[in-house]
Amino acid sequence: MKEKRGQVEVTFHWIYILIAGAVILLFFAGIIVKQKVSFEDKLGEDIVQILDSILAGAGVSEKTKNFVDVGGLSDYTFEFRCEEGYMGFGIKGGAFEDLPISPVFAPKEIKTGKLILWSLPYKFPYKVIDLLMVSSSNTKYVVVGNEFDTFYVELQDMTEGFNFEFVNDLNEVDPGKNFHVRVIDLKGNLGGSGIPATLQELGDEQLSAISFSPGNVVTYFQKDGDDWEQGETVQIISIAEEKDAAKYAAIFAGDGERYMCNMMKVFKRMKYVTEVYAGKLGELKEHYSVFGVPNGAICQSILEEARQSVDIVFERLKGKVSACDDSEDYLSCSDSRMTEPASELRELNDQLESCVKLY
Amino acid sequence: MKKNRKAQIRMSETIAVLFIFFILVVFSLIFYYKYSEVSFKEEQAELMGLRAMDTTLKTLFLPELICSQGKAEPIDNCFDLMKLRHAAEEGVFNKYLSEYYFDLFPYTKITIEQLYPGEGESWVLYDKEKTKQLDDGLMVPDWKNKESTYFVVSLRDELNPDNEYSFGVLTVEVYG
Amino acid sequence: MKRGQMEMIGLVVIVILITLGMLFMAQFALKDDPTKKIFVRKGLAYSTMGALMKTSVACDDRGDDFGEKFVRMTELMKDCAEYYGEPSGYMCDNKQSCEFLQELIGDLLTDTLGTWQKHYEFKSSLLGFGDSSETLIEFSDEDEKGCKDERDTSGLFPINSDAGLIENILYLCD
Repeated sequence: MKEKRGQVEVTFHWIYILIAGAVILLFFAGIIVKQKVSFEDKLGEDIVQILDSILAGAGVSEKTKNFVDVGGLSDYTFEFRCEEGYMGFGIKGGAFEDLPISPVFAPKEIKTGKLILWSLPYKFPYKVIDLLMVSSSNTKYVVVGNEFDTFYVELQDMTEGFNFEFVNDLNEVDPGKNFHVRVIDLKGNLGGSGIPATLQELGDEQLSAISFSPGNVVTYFQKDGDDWEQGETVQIISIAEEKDAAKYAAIFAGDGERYMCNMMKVFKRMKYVTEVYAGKLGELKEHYSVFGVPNGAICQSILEEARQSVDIVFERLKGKVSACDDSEDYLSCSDSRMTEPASELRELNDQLESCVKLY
Repeated sequence: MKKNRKAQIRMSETIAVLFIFFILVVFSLIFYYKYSEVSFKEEQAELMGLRAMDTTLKTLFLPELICSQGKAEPIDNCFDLMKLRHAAEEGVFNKYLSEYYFDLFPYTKITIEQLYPGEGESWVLYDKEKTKQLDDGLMVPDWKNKESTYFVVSLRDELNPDNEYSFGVLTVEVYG
Repeated sequence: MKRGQMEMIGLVVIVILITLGMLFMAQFALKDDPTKKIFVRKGLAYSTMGALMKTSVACDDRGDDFGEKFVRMTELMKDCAEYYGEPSGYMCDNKQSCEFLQELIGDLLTDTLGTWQKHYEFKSSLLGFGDSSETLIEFSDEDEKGCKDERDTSGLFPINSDAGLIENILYLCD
């Protein structure tokens, strides 16, 4: 009897210890799991915030390329979105940061240990904003074009540091272990051809293309099995003769929709910058209307008296910019032929040689 | 009876030990909570400093203010007085605050002052203080701290070629 | 058994407390200055020098019968270098150009960098022909601490003059 009591006691003792131990362990395990989730969320937010700061800094360091080592983040996939209702970037499935103001042209997704950031000023004809191009060491750009073409030569020069390859034939291309491959067709004949054998092994999301046509028109393509699926056709709105920021932005943008969405941010900013220049123009007109100011007559003529004066052309530009912003539609902006008054204003500004220039 | 008593004492001892153990755990949790709170406040202060510097950088390179030459090439650390006057006097930034500039400079005050030569003229480019509305409708400040960043800039007056550049100061105050 | 249990729990508690303490201290040891702050400080040194060099001053031109005209700081510096220790070509506020520059630059830096509690050192030196070097203007913060250790520089702002090369530099530190 005593033995039996002892056995029960010992058994009960152990059960009691097990239950108490399990409860304590569960308690601490619960705290740890909760903290882990919380830390991961916080880490995601910190990463996005730091990247936002880096993008802001890169955005203002015009014409320079910034190589950012993000080796510790190579397991994260960064997503760049620009669509109606949402503009921003962040970690796929995690924290996101809004980008309502800054135009950022990047692939849809980037997963890399090294980011490459490049900022180019967009001038129309005065500087409106810096366009930030985001790429990575494992995003490959394959350029197919005529080696004597001006833009082909310029691309070779300007894209140093990026993962660019210049080929005569797409069949020569080795995709390597890149996260994404973008084909840049300067000849304009991509639509009629299929995807080369060397690139077919890539996933549909891993291969895209942009084809340039005469008249500053680009068409986006996405891999769909063995063929190219045609995407948006976009008219590039720009008056730059060389180092055209809008053209480079088209190359780096994920697709046509993202390109147009980010360019609308540019046109929105253009409205406000134009208003400031309107004020400056007013002051210039007032200054040169005063009798006795050196070169007053010539300057006044160019500024407001001539048939195609700065004043008249500027008003036309201002009207088109305002209409473009109000429409909130890229196609309306491209149809409005904003480039005409912008080009004319650029020529008139150059004529203000002996006067104070508008910009 | 004696054995029961012994068992009871042992149970009580175990319970007492566990009780003290849990008290220690609670103390640790309180300590960790307090530490997190302090750490959070420090992080907020650092973020605010970072925000102030970011805002200063953005202001220095604003196309609405920056001087330009040649083919619209910007001149670093220089503000065009004609553009500055128009932007400040017409209140371009405050006029389009809600639809645009608030996203660029949230709760911030941006001031530019001409130190030399000149009469110490100053312009408030943007001013959006963090406020809240009381029950009686009165608007009162709602910020706990303010981080100020200063920068020296040149102010260019192209209409006055003999006295083209003056010495100015950019002040960016960020509300937190 | 009782004593053994108590001792075990005591040991566990000590280990936990020591670990927490070490983690706490490690956080402080690993913290360092954000790089953005250093960038802004370097930018500040550069922009301050740039603004100083471009600023115009109203002076009397001895070569123009003391007619008043606006002169850039760079011109005044050249004048100071060429007429160091002698009556200068420009008289600003009835002062010799070097004397005026020493005062004006000092005032401007005190009103800006000094007010923002930055330590700084401004130096303008004339590198004459051969190896000779002469300090034209030298100025540091009100505490006279200057910047000896960790500091940022504006970079050299050289000016060519008839007397030689004038080197201007501004050091900035916290």
